[in-house]
Amino acid sequence: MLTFSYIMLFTLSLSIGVYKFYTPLEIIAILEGYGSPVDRAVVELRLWRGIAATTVGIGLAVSGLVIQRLLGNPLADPYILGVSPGAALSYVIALLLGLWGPLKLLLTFLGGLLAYSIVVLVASMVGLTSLALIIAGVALSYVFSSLSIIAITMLGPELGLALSWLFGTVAYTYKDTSLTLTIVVLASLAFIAFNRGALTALLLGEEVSRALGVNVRVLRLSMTATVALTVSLITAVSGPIGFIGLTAPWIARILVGADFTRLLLITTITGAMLGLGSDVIVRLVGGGRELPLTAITALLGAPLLFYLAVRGRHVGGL
Amino acid sequence: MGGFEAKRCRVTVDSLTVEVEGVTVLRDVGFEVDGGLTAFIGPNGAGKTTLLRVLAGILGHRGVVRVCGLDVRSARRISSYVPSFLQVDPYARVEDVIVAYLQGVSNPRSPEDVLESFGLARLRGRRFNSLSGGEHKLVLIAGALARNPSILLLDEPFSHLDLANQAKLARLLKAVSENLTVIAAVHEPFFASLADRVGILNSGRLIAFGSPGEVLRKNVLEEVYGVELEEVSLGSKTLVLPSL
Repeated sequence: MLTFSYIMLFTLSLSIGVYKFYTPLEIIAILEGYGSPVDRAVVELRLWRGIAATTVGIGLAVSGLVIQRLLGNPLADPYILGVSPGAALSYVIALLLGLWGPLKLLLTFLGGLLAYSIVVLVASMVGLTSLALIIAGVALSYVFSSLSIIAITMLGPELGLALSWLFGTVAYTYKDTSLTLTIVVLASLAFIAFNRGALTALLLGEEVSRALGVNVRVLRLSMTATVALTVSLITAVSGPIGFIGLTAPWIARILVGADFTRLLLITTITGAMLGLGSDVIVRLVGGGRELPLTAITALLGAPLLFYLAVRGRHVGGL
Repeated sequence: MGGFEAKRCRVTVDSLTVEVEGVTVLRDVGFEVDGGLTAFIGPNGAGKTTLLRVLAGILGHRGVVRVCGLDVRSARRISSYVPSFLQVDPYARVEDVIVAYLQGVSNPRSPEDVLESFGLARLRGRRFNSLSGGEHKLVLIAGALARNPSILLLDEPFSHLDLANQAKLARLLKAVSENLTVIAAVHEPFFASLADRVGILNSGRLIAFGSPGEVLRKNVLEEVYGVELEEVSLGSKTLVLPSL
């Protein structure tokens, strides 16, 4: 059902856009080489854009799931815990410094990792509780976002494009970027799947997991680095995007419970749908202009989060 | 119940000392068991949970601790540990908790089969956090036993259980301890009296270790707990209760 819905959504993603609407039959014909060069270019752009939106959704969703399991905190996600805003700030600094591509990505990765470490460090000063993590994460994320806004105004001619990126977009994601992003997210997904046994055991908490033979410290370090790398690369491509990392794992939880293997599978699908669905909506409701991706993910995610928080009271609380 | 292989093993503890944040929690503890059910009893803070955590291989220590001939870290693959309390993801189902316990086990049983074999089939599909404290305990112990361990470590297994479930668990532990080594921290002298051996911990020291008849003496318990006790006969059993 979810897979079928995703295929429908992807078809819609190829059909709609500011330029022109294509029917599914027209899309098939264009993909087979018929149609004008402009039509072929537009569909190809939408194809890579759809893949990028999907990959962004999967990467953020699975990263959220892993962070929630690592911290035993269902309210954690890469945006709330500072990874995305920290990576965004580093990316803007790298742009200001005029750094070369790979160096720019390295700085973005280190920024995301450092921001997350600062949030955990600050929260641990008051006991590393769920509430402490959220408060520290939200507060520091605001700080990183504010600094990003200040830094971005110093950019000059690139300001318009950078502002569009800061609010989240995959509109400028072409073949090479989309392929790189897909490879990194798939590699990250494979590494997380490889560690699914340890992440499954972590449901029982750190103490029991260690008693079952899980090296929790190594797991935390390797998974944190994986999440920071994935989210930082996503941020560099699409800007800091919130709520997908929080909402997609929650929808999966409601559907299949808390077994990590099943959660990973369903979160991958729900993340793909939220990423692609949000990108379709920004093109549908903009009236000829595209809306920022973050606005849509928040509009989709916030009511769902509220609903889940209320519902959570009846299943043992958040 | 459960279908266990005979895997009982020897546990040797000698000169065990544990310090946590500069405080000595266990001091020069030594004992040896070879299968069967062993209960440790003592006041809150006596070191019972610390001892279990050492045996589970999750707490640093000084001294000799061998489980089934292995050091405690290596023995984690053949042991199962059930803490006194566990909070999990609010959406975790009972089956998810069993699956988590079965990680690292080759050819694990299905969670449905585990629940069925422990008489817990009625809990299938329920949210773990919606269960009663007693049901929590039974599910965790079922998961721990489904690993088919050589040693089972239980922290306060009887807490939160009603009388029927206390009896059910006591019978289960007696039955499984014929095939594997069970070590439990308990609060109630009655449950300790069901064990093959009993140890009394007080302020981090093992002050007595032996058969229940030798160890669970009214005057020893009065000294350890600092309260007046009275012995009440109930059929063939003698209960030690606080004098009110």
